[in-house]
Amino acid sequence: TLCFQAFLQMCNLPIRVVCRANAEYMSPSGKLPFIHVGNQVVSELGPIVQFVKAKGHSLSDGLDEVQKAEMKAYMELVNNMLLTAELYLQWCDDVTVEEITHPRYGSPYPWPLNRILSYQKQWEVRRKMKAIGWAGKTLEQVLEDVDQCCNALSQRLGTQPYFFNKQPTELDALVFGHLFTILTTQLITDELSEKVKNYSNLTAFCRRIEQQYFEGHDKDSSTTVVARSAKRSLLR
Amino acid sequence: DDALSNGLDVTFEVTELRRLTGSYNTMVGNNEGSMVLGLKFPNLFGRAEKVTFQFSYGTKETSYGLSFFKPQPGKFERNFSVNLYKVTGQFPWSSLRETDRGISTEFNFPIWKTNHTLKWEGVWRELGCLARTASFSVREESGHSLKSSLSHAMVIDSRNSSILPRRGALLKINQELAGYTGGDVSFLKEDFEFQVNKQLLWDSVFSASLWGGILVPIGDKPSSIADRQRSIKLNLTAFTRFYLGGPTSVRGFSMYSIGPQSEGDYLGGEAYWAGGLHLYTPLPFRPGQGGFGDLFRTHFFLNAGNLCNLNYGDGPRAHLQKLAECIRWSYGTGIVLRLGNIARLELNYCFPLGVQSGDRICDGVQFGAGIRFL
Repeated sequence: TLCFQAFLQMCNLPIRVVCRANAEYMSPSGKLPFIHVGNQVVSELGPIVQFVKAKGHSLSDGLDEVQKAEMKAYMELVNNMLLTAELYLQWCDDVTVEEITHPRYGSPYPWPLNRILSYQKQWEVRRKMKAIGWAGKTLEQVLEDVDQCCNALSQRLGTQPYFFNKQPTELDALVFGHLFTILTTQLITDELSEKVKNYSNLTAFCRRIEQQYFEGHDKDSSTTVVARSAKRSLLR
Repeated sequence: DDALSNGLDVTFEVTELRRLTGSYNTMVGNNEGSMVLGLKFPNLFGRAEKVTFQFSYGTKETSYGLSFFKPQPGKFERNFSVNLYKVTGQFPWSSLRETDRGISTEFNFPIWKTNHTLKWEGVWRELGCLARTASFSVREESGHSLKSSLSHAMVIDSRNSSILPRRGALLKINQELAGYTGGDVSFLKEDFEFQVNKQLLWDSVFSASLWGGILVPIGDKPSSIADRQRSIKLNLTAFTRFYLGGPTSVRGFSMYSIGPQSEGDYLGGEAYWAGGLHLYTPLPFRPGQGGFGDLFRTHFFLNAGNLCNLNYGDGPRAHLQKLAECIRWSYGTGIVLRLGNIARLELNYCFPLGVQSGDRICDGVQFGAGIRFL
């Protein structure tokens, strides 16, 4: 969700975040988050970026074709690796599932609906993991994968402020969203966030974006981003 | 031995029902048809306990259900039943799709001339949008909710038939209280149905009916729902509210297309009333008299009604005023066909009037099929 907030902030578009328990079901494609502008509803990063581009705002106009292709490749990497790792940790690691995910997912609903919906979601995520071949992985292997991904990102970032020169692009928003979430979500163990913290330029990158785009901002509303969780800050 | 000298010995010869029967029916409800497969154990433990399993596949909904019914020995009207069911429905007038899975238990018992029903019901309700173009107000209601409610209904029926009665009256009062036995939906719902019929000269019947209802949301209770961001209004999901309009209620308007709406999707309302005056006469020139022709009647009708949301802060006088303004009404004539003692088909020519902006009308010829008509 933070990816979208970051992206829209970078485009200088005023947004308002609303949290709803049934946000997943409200989305036209079933995936979060989605935006509600006027009387249009658009969900998922790809379509949202297209939508915003059609309205005349784009962050990647300054890039040439090679860079755009590279950006797409990195975005795919982040989606495949980080997103899946997050899902794995939330739904396939038994300890985390029992102590954190089930209570959090079922919290808006009364008994017995909270248990039923949690189990339904867990079954769905596990089925997806099986389909992409992650079901057989252990936690260590997943953490290894995350490490490799962070390594690649860290190398690409180097000492630059953003991934492509001085201007932020969709890739920055996406990476920020995922890394920030990993760094700030409280789980049973800190192993995942430790992996990210190993790369100091990535943590500096996150802090920089947070300071630049998320502090001291007035929230006006012409776009509403709908999410399922609350906002957290990196600086605790 | 102690038989009377002029008494009679009466012997009943009966054939016991089979232990297990299957059935295959087609059903006509309010403007939809379905195919029903059933299995029944009519007398499971020897005291008229009945267990039924039904699977129904229809034009609009698919459902299955298991029910257990037990009457009190000797008093069949006092009975008790437990039902388990899953029902799916589609409501194109609201762009809404609903799936309910639930369990309910009910007690029926007569008191003097009235019949009472006490019921507890727990339903897991899942709402979804029927199309990508559904309005945002409907989209906001998608998701899961749990309703646990207690209800009571009272029926007094002195009519000679439930479809096209010639005399008698019907009064049905129903109330439902949800939220105090669990679940996350809280409201109090009251509705009533009244009908009176009188036979006039020349085989014609005059009938008057009045329906009404009100739905009152109950404020958020403490505990798990206190910190939710939903407003009270959202607790009254689309299917809990009342709907009005169509060939079975206020004729001349499209199905459930009266009242509050958003971008073409009808959201239903929290209070309504509807009334009708009918005159039924035999077909002109009485073709097929004594046989098939008796199933048809011509009818002349006048319908009126209103559906709106109330501001609960105002007093009852303001509520009555709100229900009395913007009345929709219609009049017309048509032919009614009676199907057994279960359903009725109507073909009417209607003139809708008092149409408010947002309502969808069906002026001219309108066809309707169902079991419960205004």
